[in-house]
Amino acid sequence: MDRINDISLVAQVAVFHNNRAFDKLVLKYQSPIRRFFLNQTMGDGQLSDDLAQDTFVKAYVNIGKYRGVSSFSTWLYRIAYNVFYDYVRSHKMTEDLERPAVHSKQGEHRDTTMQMDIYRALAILSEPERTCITLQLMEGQSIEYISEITGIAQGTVKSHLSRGKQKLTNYLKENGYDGGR
Amino acid sequence: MVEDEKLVAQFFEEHRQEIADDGFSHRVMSHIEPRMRRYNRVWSLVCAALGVALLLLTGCLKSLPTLMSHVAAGLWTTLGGIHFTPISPALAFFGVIVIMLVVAYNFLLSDKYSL
Repeated sequence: MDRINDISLVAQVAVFHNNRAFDKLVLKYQSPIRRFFLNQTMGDGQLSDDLAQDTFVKAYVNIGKYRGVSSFSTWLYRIAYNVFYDYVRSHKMTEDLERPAVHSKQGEHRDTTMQMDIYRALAILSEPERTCITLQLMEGQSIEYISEITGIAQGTVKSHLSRGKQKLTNYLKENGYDGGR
Repeated sequence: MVEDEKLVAQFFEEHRQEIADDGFSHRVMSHIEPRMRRYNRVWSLVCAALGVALLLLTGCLKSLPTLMSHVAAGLWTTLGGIHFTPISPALAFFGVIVIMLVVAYNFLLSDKYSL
């Protein structure tokens, strides 16, 4: 039903240039897309919002190319993934993201302590591991959809997930996180 | 191993945040609107230029005044043939013009973005 609603809204945007329909899509997906970028940029709120805005603008301009083969959210995540890595390549951010430094630019409405924990944990991962882990564990995407979003083979996605989870398990245990047991 | 996976999954579940819109969608739509207006203007200019080029190349421009006068004469004759007592043909003609202007005005207004 959810997918049918999305396709209906996309059709209204593509055929009738109905901006209200696109606004509904933005309202629905702004949280997961911005969260995706926050996790990739280690909490840089301003950069995340800029990248998220670019994602939605690209989605609007290319809305006619959406064929409905995959879900709209998968298509949107694919655009977001490409936007992020285009930014990384153009700004050569790779070295900065690998360092376990946490950006201090965070919105006032977010719990700083909690967010520092998650970003410090994500900092120990490589970029592909971080992307795969956050897509699966934060955004609830399956391995098949992660492969579709990132263009990485499913076997490689599984490897990234396995290594990433192992690193995170060790990190959490070393830092005294026991899941409340 | 399964317990370790649950530990990681639980950690992410606890740190999963929903982000309030806080005007984000409005900023996105504000950014889209001017961009699409630019595309529309460029496209309109291209079509207008093609139309003018077509008129000039086919020599229709020379015939245009004659064509317009024939159309106006035909329209006036048609209106004169319609008996709209007590409405005169001129009044009916101006009524049609007013309706067309109102439709065009509403069409231009509907193109403007508003929530």
